[in-house]
Amino acid sequence: MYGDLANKLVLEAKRSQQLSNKSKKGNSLPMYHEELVRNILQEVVQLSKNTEYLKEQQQLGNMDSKVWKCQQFVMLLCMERNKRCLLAYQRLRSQMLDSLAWDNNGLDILHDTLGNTQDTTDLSPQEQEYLKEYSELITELKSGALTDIDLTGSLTPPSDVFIDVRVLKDAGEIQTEYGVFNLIKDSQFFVRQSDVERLIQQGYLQKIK
Amino acid sequence: MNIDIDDILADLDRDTTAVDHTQDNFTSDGNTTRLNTSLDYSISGELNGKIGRSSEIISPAEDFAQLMRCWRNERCSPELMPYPHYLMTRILRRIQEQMEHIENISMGFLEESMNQISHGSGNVTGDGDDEDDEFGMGRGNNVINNNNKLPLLCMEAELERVKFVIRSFIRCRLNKIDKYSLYLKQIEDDSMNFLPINELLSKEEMVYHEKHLSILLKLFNNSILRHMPPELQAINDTEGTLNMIEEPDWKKFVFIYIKEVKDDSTLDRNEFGKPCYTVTIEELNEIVELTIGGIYVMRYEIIRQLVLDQKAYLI
Repeated sequence: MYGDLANKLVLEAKRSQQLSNKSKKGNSLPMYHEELVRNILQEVVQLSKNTEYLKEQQQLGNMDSKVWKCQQFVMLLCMERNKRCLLAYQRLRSQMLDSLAWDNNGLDILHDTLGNTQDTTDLSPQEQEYLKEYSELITELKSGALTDIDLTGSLTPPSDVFIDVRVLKDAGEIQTEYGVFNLIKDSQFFVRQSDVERLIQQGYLQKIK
Repeated sequence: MNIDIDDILADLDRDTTAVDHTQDNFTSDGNTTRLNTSLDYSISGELNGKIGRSSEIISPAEDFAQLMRCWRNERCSPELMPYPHYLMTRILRRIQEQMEHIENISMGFLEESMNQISHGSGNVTGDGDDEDDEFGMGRGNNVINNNNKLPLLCMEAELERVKFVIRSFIRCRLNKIDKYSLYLKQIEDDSMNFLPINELLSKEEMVYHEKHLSILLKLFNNSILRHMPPELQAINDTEGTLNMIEEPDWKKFVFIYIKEVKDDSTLDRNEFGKPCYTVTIEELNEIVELTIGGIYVMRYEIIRQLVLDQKAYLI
């Protein structure tokens, strides 16, 4: 039937949602189903052609008006259904992109947004453009009146002033705003939490309980 | 026979304090109404030359409590709450001041150690900032000499905490703005609204709302809607089989705590003589008494007005 392809797409959306819920942060979006989307769009075009044809027939007067109304209505419903499924899929993906942009954006270096997502090829070109624009929007928001508050910062409440951190990967010398750390693999530091929050989010350091 | 003299005692209490604490009340239009203390005194005929400073500043502690309440309400309510413009400006200004203050103090530490190295004298050269903070670390105070880092740590930790609350608050609001963006757009176009959009959102949020909606629409248009027949190209279609504008879930159940408000006209008394508010649940045609200090689970639409009037808090 007409809605079946769209159903498949929504199932796919459901799966990627579950994946991102279950897995830890730093999920990568699954690939954009271009093939499937294109097929659904073709279906819609087909349907709209059908309605056009029916309209012509109706005007020529070789159709019963009741039958015509029913046919028109069912066609419209099928198209609406397809539209809903496509939009739901796209909306879900855009929400995932938003969380990507919030999570690991603007922490250290703002340029090279797409460097951390290996799946740039998995995004449709429109999505890549959207991600770039949304990141810019977030940067703009941060540089507004709320400069003192780092909006992309951690959302877990600060409990300790000083913490122990272990360096997970070699990063050489990293210059923070507060001073220079020499991050050698497997070394430990006892530092103020607010200094290293960003490095923890980037995965260079690990907090020691 | 008992004579109640509490009010007389209270009067005496008021007189003995040198500084009186008048709280500014923000009226609904945002103008501060200052209680004129001298007037008060002259009326009571006890003008003893000790007119307390009528404090221009609402206490930071009160502001923070207010912020915490806003934050909790925002986290729990299904709708977007009005943005507390004045409160946020005050708090943001204080944060900036406190940051500079901490900076100055830590600079003082540095200079102090430098001085000790170069001259061996413990004379602090402050940078003209002779504002004693609450820890009594004024200029030339011995506290700096033992390099007591504790107050500095406390201040920094406190600042981090306030910042966290604001961050969480704003992020929560942005999340709601994303969710209800089309609904907000509808509110904007609708002039018959209870609240203008610039009351509901801050300036930055307005900008965010506009821009995010536009890039989102661009994405949808380019990838999907362009290929649709013209009658299906709308993103905010309310005529179709399904309404595409997602409104807040007014019927959501929330936990509320009923707060005590002095001499409120809408208060009733229940059969046990306890003060309470009465609300009506329309769908069940049932009247509920909300006793002061009680905690209830209610539908949001019923208690919305109480929450907006700050007579009930979401928890």
